[in-house]
Amino acid sequence: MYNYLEYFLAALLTVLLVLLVWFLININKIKKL
Amino acid sequence: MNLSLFILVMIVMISNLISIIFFTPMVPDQEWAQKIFYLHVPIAWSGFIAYFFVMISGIAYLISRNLKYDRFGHAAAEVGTIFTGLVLLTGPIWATPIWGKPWIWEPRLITTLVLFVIYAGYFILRNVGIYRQRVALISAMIGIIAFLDIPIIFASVTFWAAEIQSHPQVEMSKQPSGILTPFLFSLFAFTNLMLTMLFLKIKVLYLQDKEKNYV
Repeated sequence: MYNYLEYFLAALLTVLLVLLVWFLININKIKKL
Repeated sequence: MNLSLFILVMIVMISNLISIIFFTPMVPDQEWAQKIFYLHVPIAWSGFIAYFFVMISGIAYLISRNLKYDRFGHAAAEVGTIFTGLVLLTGPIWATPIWGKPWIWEPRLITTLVLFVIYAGYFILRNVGIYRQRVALISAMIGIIAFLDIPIIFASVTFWAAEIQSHPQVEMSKQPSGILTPFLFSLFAFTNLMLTMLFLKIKVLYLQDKEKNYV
């Protein structure tokens, strides 16, 4: 049974990864300033 | 940024992810691919709200010439562009199994891509190195003009001929409650996340301006 689970996981991981990188960059900037 | 606000938003986001994964109905034919909807659409809406803030702060800057509105607009533009970028990434991931190909040149996709490209230009302009007030003035004007694309994106599914559309033309209020309730919760969660990111970015920009003695 093909249920497209990998597409959902790909989308979810993309969203989480981009947001995580954004937060890390900006929290790092706050610490430096 | 307030740490308790950050933790609160994280709790809301984690509950949202649990709700999407475990408590949303499986739609026949699409199965898990349909659940991308609970990420894709709320991210798009929150991104548009951020761009709305860019327009409002652009108007406020033109009237007051106060750099705090420029920082607000700049922060909202960055968050809006991150969200629009995520829409343009999650869209093709969803489209690949359902439409058979990741990208179709149809009205809503083209108008969204245009919005993203306008804001890519906005950030290039912010970094060309002209003096601070001039950048703020031009950015405010671009932010106001760029917002004109958002009503076009909303109208694109009905404005152009139905034959060239790929997006479903279903109104959200007509969705069954099993889909509508978790969708509204996801919309709430992503809007909160967007606002948190906005506050964090405003603080970063404020500190940067302070370091360069603009504040």
